[in-house]
Amino acid sequence: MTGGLVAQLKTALPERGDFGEVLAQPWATLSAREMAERPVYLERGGRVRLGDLFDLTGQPMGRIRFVGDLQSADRLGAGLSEGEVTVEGNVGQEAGLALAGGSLDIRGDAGPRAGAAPLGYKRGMTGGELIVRGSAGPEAGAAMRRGLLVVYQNAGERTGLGMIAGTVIVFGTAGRETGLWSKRGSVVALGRITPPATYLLACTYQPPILRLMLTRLSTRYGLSVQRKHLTGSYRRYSGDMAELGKGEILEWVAK
Amino acid sequence: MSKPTLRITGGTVYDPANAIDGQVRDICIQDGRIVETLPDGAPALDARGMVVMPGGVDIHSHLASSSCNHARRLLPEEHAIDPAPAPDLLDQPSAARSGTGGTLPTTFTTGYRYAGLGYTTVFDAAVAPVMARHSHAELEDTPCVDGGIFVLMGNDEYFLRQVAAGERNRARDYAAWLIGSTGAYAIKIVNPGGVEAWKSGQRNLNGLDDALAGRGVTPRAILETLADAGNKLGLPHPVHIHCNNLGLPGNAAVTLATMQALAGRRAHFTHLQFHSYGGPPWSSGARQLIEYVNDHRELSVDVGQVMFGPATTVTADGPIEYLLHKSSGRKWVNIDIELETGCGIVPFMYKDKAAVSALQWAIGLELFLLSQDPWRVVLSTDHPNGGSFLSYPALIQLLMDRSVRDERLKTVNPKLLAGSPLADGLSREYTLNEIAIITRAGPARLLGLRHKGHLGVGADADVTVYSRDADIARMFASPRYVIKGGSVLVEEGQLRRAPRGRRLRLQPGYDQALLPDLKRYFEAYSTVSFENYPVQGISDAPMQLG
Amino acid sequence: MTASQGVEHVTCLGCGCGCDDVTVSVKDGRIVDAAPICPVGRAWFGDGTVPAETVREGKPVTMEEALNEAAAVLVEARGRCLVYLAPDLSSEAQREALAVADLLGAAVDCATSGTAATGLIAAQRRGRTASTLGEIRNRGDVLLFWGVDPSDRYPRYLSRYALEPVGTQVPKGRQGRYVISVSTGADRGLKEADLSLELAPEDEIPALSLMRAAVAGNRVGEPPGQMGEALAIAKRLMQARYAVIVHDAEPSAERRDPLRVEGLIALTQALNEPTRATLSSLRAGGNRTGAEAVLTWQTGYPFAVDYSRGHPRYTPGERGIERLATGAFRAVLLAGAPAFDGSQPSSFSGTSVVAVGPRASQASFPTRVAIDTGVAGIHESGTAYRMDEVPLPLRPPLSGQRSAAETLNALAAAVRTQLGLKSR
Repeated sequence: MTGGLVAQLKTALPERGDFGEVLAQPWATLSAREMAERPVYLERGGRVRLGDLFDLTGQPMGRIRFVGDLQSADRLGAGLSEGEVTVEGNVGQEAGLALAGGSLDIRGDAGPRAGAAPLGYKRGMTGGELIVRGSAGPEAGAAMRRGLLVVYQNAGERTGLGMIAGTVIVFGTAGRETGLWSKRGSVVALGRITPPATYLLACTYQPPILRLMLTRLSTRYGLSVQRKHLTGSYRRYSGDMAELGKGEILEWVAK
Repeated sequence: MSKPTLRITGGTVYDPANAIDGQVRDICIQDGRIVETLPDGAPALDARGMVVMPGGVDIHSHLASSSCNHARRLLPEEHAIDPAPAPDLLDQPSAARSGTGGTLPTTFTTGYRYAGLGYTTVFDAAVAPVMARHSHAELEDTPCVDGGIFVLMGNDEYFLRQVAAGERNRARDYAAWLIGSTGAYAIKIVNPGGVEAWKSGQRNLNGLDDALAGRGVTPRAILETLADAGNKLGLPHPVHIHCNNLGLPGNAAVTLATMQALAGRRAHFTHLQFHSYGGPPWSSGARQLIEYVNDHRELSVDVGQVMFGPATTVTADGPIEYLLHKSSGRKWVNIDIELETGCGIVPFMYKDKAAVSALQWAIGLELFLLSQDPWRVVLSTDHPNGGSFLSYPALIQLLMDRSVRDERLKTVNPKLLAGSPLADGLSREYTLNEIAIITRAGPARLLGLRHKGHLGVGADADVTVYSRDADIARMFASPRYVIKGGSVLVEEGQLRRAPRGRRLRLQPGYDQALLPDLKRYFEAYSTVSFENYPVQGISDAPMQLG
Repeated sequence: MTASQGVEHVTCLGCGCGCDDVTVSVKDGRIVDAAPICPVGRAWFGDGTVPAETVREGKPVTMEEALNEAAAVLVEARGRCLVYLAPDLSSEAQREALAVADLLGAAVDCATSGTAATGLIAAQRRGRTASTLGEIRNRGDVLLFWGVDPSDRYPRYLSRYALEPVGTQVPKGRQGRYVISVSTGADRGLKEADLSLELAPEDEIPALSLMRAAVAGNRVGEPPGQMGEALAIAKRLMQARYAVIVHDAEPSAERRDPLRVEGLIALTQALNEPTRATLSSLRAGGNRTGAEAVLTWQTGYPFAVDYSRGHPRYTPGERGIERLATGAFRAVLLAGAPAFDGSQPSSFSGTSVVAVGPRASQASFPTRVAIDTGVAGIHESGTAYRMDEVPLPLRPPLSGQRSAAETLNALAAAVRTQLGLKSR
């Protein structure tokens, strides 16, 4: 991705910071100078400007790229509703919390509860696309209502906990009890997964929609998708029977 | 807080209780009361060109109860998007408090926002007796408004036992004791018998003569007993009734039957809109009910208007909340309250594109527009059940401005509006004088508050001053001045003072012979000692009866 | 020697049962007996003696000096303060402490965030079906104890509320109640039960899910091992007239599955289709439930609130008392005795501490200012909340100690004055 704003971390983050308000409001048309005014709340330092921590350059094009180690940046991209956000590296917890629109592309690992609902909220993601190219911590996509979560490596335990709808795709291993208590929605597991006890095996088939989705991921985000996943069959488990039972887990099975 | 003398000069006054309908005159205030005159040179507030009314009186709200607090706790999503920083009050160092809003704001914020709307008296219409101590604590943290609580009866074990035994006098003594013990102002009946049915596995009572299993007690007997009790005790406000079958299609029949059952007894029917449905399938039953009310002077109502947008349903009516939870899929709280009542909570969104919501909206307006006596039809949204009290200004605009109303009507789902009087066209527009009646003078009179809702000599100096505005909603949303008990709370549209409000409560007399039996009952079944049950130390003395 | 005097209908805050039938005997200003009383209650009352000092850096000062110093310390750290509400305060005192927190833009923490937090968060996600304890006493005919035997930490729960008493709908008392016990790992259920089940911790959530699916009438696969018995329990609950599920909301040695309470909440809610059911969450002592109630009506949130951005914010993921170690705060107001619930912070890392509450002067950590007060319900009147959120009056058997509510009110006034002076 070229063009748009670039936020280059000046020096390593001194301490944990809450980035939850940086992209929660519309931002796509902000200049670098305006974006620099968005607040970040540091554990000890309190409220600072994004510009105090990052060098912001480039022109507004509905895109922003964060460069630097953001391991201790929490809630980056929370409430995002527009634009394309790329993060070159790892992020802290609750990245893309309650994502509403746009895309958040994390080119590293994400901490716990990426794309989840804020604690105590009934609904999480209501739209948009969250891509984690590394591994994701526990409860990614919890209470997702709409939208797409992709974890390219491994997903932590209880990924997609209490999903209301939407789609989760895990390329690597899906953690323990992924899909637990989902109402509707799809969890697609290209790697290993053990469905919760309250999912029932329905059938094995080749979902045409899946081929389209995976193909789109490779074109849209340049994720490499193996041919066997495009052509292979999938076991469909329906659940969670403790809830509505209208959700599904699609587990890739070698032909 | 000083209570200066003040002359509000040159305003156009609407004081229906004193037959003043838009006359330009001064209002004189001294020591927190309205007085005849003031010496020349007394401080003056220039209200020329402005509209002067008594402070608003909310006869039915849910703002300070354990149920409200359960609902607050349930709604972090709402609080987070409606932060309420502390207002910039004049008293320094300031005691102003921050809070959060949403459909159930925190206590301080609730007081500030009511005052900001020109309301100075508010009642919480549903308090479980054993939780009354909690309500009084919340009211202590709800500034700016005088207020009180209605205590829930009609599903309580001791009362039901008296009805089953035909002990109507003891039931009346118990009601008197309960009002005094809980610091309440009136008796509230919610779904008579139905809440006990829900708790005991019978699920609900749907008809006036359906009996509670194993007791033989019917809603009819409960209603008659409590209506008689309230009237015999000479309570200033008669029993405040939430009928059976709230929110269900066809419930207008049981509502009408309830009105007829009370046969001449004084009674107030609350949030009538929620009880005015024809069918099934859904249709408007507003006309027959409001016409019955028009013809029966002993009856009064508040409307419980539905306003489109977010709401939270909070009620002692446990069974209906379960049905709402099942049909809406929203989160659900149910708290059964020992020996007394219940509590159900479901957040809800009224959408103008939803057929039932649109019908509910229309029915509320029909009740307002078809009523003939504004003194007996009070403005309410059953806050926060039909919508927030903050939507009162928009509701007033719908009543006063037909063009706005008709335009809005065009945008709502018409599916269920066939045969709706509103859809057929209602041309009535409320006057400012009628608005002053349904938001102040009327509720104050129905509550028996002689010092509220008017601007005659001796009345509490609760006054709201509005700047005229072609946009009625804007006019009522931000009064220019709000004065309570002589203190100027709102100046130039800004909240500048937030004094503690007074508790309005009663302590009716009763036959002490009740107590030994009641104590035995407490020792057998209650988990709270008889001696610890009554609320002690409420700051304001009970009001005199009669 | 004077004869002992009895104070009746005293509310005990030893645990969350809130037994308000206690007669406390007082002699020469000390508690010499209490009845009816359990071991937990006896320990709570003790002999009722507490220190009554007012100290600045360990040296006695006047109340005015102490309050001015405390206010100065806190105002200096405005925006970087923690106000901690320990459980042994009346709700009146908790309200005053929150007024201070609001003025200071402080973070607020209480016992809850380290104990019952996951349950409160689950109840925010799903709601809950609960009842006051009297409904359990009067209606409960099938009682399921999930990983708890209340007799250990809530000794009178079974005799007053759940098991033995005669109720309006349970005229036979214990004989009229069917008892089910589930143990998960080290969390043991009731010893004597009509039906018992042992679950390995990793089977707990699957079991709760299967039970709920069965209650909802949804198809479930062939249940593995113990799960068949779990389904039998679900069936028995569905046959109840008024089912009661009891669990311990307070932590135990065992690290529990954080979803346990949400699983129990959802199961109880589902049971309300075929019958009526309620969840009873056992809470420990003091007025910790009251702290949640007061926080909720003043801020909208039951715990973990942060005023630092000018209004209350919910921060359930960050436990204030643990953030102390990171140096997030410059000053701390400890209202009440934090040691009460084991929430003694590990390190204050150079934070200035103002302690106002019972035994403040005996704190095991250095304080800038410490003001001793009486204990709610022993020396101080007011209101406290039972585990089921029923508010109870406090009838202190002893008197003469400084009131925590009045002291915190005076502190709020002192803070206001200093802020007012600053703003001019």
